[in-house]
Amino acid sequence: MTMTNGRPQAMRSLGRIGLWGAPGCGKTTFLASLNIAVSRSAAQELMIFGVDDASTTFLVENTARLTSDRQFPDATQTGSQYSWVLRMETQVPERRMFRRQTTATVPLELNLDLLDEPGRVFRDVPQEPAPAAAGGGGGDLGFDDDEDTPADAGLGIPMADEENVMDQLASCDGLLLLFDPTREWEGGDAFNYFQGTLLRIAQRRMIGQATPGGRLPHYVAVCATKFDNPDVYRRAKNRGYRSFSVEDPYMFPRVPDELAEKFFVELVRQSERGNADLVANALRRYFEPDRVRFFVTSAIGFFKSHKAARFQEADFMNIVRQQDGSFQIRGAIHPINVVEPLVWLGQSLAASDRWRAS
Amino acid sequence: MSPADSRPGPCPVCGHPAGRTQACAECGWTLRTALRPGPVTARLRADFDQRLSAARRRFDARAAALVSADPGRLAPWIRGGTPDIAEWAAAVRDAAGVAGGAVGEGPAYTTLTTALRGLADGAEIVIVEIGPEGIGVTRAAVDRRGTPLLRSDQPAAPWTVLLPMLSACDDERLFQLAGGIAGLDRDLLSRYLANVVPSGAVPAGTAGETMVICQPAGWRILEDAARHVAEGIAGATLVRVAGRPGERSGMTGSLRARMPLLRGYGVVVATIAPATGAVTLGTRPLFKPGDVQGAESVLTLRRAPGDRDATTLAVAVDGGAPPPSGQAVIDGAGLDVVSLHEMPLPGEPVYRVRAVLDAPGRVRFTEPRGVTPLARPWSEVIAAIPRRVDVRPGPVDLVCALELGGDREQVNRRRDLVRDLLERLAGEYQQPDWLRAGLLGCTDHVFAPGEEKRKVVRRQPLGDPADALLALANFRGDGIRYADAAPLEDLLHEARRMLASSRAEGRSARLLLVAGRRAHPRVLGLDKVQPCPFGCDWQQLVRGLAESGVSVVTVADTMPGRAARNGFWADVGRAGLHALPDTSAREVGADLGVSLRPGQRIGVPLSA
Repeated sequence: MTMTNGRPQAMRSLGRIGLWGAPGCGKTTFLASLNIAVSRSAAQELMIFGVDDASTTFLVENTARLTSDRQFPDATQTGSQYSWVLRMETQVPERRMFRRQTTATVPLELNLDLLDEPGRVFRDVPQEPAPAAAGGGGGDLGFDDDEDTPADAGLGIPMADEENVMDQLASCDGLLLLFDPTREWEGGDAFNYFQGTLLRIAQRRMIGQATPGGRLPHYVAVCATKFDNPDVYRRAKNRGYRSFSVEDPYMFPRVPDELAEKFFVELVRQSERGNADLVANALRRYFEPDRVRFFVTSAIGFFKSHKAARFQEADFMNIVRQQDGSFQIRGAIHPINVVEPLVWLGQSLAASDRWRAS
Repeated sequence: MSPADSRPGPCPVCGHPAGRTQACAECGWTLRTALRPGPVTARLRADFDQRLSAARRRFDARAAALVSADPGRLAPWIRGGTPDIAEWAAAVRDAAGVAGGAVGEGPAYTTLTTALRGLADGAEIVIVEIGPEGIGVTRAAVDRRGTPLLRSDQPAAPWTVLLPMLSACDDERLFQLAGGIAGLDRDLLSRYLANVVPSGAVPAGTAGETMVICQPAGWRILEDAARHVAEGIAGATLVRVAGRPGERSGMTGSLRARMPLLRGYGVVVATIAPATGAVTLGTRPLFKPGDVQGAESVLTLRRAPGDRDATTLAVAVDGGAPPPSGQAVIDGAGLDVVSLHEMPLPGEPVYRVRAVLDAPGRVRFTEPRGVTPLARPWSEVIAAIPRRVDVRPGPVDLVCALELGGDREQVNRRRDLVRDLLERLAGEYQQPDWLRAGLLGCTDHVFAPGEEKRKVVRRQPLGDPADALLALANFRGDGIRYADAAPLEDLLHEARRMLASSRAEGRSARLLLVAGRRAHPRVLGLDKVQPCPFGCDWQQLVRGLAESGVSVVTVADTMPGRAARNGFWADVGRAGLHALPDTSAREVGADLGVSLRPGQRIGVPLSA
């Protein structure tokens, strides 16, 4: 941090954030709603823009897709990297006269390099790609939990590419771990997409650590997605995790950050099929506790009729199942806790930079 | 000279014993005058003979005129030759006068039927008919239906047996009976007449009443016989009837046919209680007491909607005892059926029958054609009448609501069912305003910005079924926009509005719902089905319809699974739930209560 005339200056921080989660947990939708989330944020200083054309195009196209077309973005077929700048404000300590220390709010530019990989990359047991069938069509590669389109069939991830993904994740400064509780209830395979990746990250970062006994240095924002799903929402409501913000004119429900971890643990415990409860244990074991934070998120948020002043308990589902089985977004997008994990990651990384600099 | 020879001779005109009077006590012929001097000249004798002949002719002509209007028929027995025109006219006048005080057959039948009507149960009246053929005795009673029961313990006694001195020749005997008795021994005649009762030809005493009928009144021997019989039976009533009997067998012979009904007859009809469908039997008056042979009656009757089989026309005594309380259907004991007929039901729901009274206990239906006697007993007819039926009488408001979302063929199948039902009912409810039909159709809610509040229900108000049929052609299908539910709750909401006033107007309210998907809920539930954008609550609407007395039948494209049958479909279709491929307009109509259910045939007409 640069001091000028004794006052802290604006900061820049470069953070590589890796997106991590099972297929269909909503990684691409999460990113796609980011621009909308920033636009709706009460923090007027918050803004986001792309560093390159591809990144800007992603924001533009997916914002339109979500709002105008009311469609979900296509599932990620191949790995992509987006570079955005998230401009926000952060609190920094300020030394005043007579050794008084206060905090000052300074602008912060967080450069985000986001890696979005297909969910199947994170599967515990990498799958060898099947031989391509005649005519280019693919058979079932066993990725039955992969919600990628049928066009994916036959497109197995080469072993070498998976290793690259793991290398990149391990080298990230922050991780955005997306966890879909509904998928866990249905398939019980969340842990399958977690523990293998975690161990590979650990292998890459912890071997040869200068100080034995340390933990992974990453900041991890754990996002339980699809809070707008009636099953997730009702669990939060019935178990007392739901609250409302007085600053929200639409009174959309949310789970406060301080309760998010507890809610997350409850959500995973309710899965009778998998071992998702091990995810929380592993997070505490492998990462510094103060570097892991939980959020309960929804990329598209709850439905609110334009004729209603606020959230209506009787009718809040913001997706509509179409005749062909696909889902369409019903109303306006009101993302919940989409930008907040990135803000936390950015501020945490910036604070970490200051510490290192000092 | 014997004592008999010393008795005065009979009157030369009428044959009455002359006695010592100046003139005949019976005919007034001068029997004695004062002695006159001088011989009886030829001229005097001729004059006497002429006057005697004329008096005899007059006496005999009057009897002949009583028997026949033809002066020549009995001329051989008219003493003094054939009467001339003036004499015959005078004889006819005299004949009319001798029956003075007699009653006509009509009043006589009235007297007789009045006496019969007043009989206690089991009592009888003895009718002694004294007529040209002889004396007949008939015991008459009436059964509980008022039908006369007649029996004769002995054949009628002919005059040739009762009065052997009468001629064996029919015409001469009639002449004698009517009053041509100048040649008869009066004393002998009187002794025989006085012996009619003692001889047993007529019962001397009965436990009940005795009525002596003398017909034709004015016939000398008949009158004398009737008087002797009436005087010889205690308490007997003498009825003198003018004119010859219409039937050879006398009044009693035609009594059965000519007797007026003592009790009215009615056609047995069924009444269906609007609220419960309970069937009760009653009668519609067909003939009233006093109706006589030949009386005609026309009744307008109705058949139950959908009933096309033959029906039973049961004629029963009208105004019988009411059914025992608590019995929905009168059993055979309560209705006294006189005759049974089978009638093919006409195509029209309301039809006319015409009946003719042939005699007490005999009714013949002349309209419509094809009415035949029913061979089965009334007890079998009664046993087949259901105690309650689902079809309800009275005017009906019917709303047919159908889901228009789906592929064209499926929507067409739903419309076909509605069309079949309306066409069927239009033929059954032909009275104006008896059936009002309305239509509702829904397309899908669209869950997209700016479209959620779009009205999705198309409406054809209650009115003539023909209008509904025409409008149905325009209720075309639309694509499905939301797979998991259809705006059936909107249909229920509109249907409730359309049928809101039916009950107050005295009309049955019915709703048919034909759909493939369930309704949208009011709030988002665990099944994640999108709630109705208008906030319609199908459960509340179903309750409201039930409280308003609206009967609802649902037809689903396919029979829902067990869970669904216990949920939405069962809740809505409380009067019936069918699968579209397996049902018919007839079945649906039966469940709606607008058409007779197979197996619930009443078998007798309904009161129009």
